[in-house]
Amino acid sequence: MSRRRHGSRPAIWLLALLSLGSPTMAAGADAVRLGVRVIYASNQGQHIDPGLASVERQLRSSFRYSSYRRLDSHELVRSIGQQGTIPLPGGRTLLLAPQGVSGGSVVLLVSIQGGGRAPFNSELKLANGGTILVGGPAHEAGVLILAITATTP
Amino acid sequence: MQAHDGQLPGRHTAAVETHLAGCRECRDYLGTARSASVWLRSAAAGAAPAFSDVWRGVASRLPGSMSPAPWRIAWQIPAWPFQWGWLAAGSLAVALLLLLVNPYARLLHAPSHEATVAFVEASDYPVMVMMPSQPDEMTVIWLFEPQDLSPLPPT
Repeated sequence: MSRRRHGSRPAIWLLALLSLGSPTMAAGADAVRLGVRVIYASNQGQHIDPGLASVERQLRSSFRYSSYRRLDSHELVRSIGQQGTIPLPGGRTLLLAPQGVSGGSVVLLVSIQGGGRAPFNSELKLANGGTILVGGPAHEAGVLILAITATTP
Repeated sequence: MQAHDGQLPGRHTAAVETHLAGCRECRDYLGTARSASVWLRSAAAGAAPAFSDVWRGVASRLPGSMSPAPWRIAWQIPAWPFQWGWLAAGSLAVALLLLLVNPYARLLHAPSHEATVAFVEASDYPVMVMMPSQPDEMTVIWLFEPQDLSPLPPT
């Protein structure tokens, strides 16, 4: 028995050391971190912002546009049931409201309002740390694409 | 030989001596036996090798690792649990470091973009939901402008 204890002691220390950096210690259990990148996609030029590297492959494989510019970037933390508001170009507003966390996924209400149109409303369940793209509203010579990411502790 | 060694009673010894006086063959045998006995006794007394020093001599010619550290002898704890424990912990730490600095570490941390769209309400937009075929691909909700359906995603 004593030999087993001695043998596993370094591994225990290592795990304890690694756990010090765990993000679960830094945020509340009911908080959801929401990230939104507002992207302007068009066929004017050949350009993609370096800040869109994490979604570049998805953008190029899903859409036909030659240029992707990041107009804005937002990050907010909201509790379950708490709403967040993000202004969009063209007098639109994006509303986000996490409704709960289930099985490692975030249930999220997404709404785009304004711009002289009836609101777009959706409820979706997004894997923790995952991103969904909501696009299509016209903007200048192209369209807006919203990359929405939800992360729980 | 027993008479010669004094192991027989006196009367028997006298009988043996009487016989030896008249028997040359027995005298010759006894002489040979006495010589052998004397040689054996001298060898046992002085020329026997010191066996207690044999291992000390062998050990002195062996590599130093054959001499265990005093604390290990005292506690009778083998060293391998310590060595293997630290080896495993070190290997794990190196593997984690390699994963963190390696460009392929992104695979380890790559989040799943799996999404389920429960409902969509958009009376002014034709809407299409594109579900990914791979876990690392993203779900796309596309709102078409009524007057322009040109930016169709590739099929």
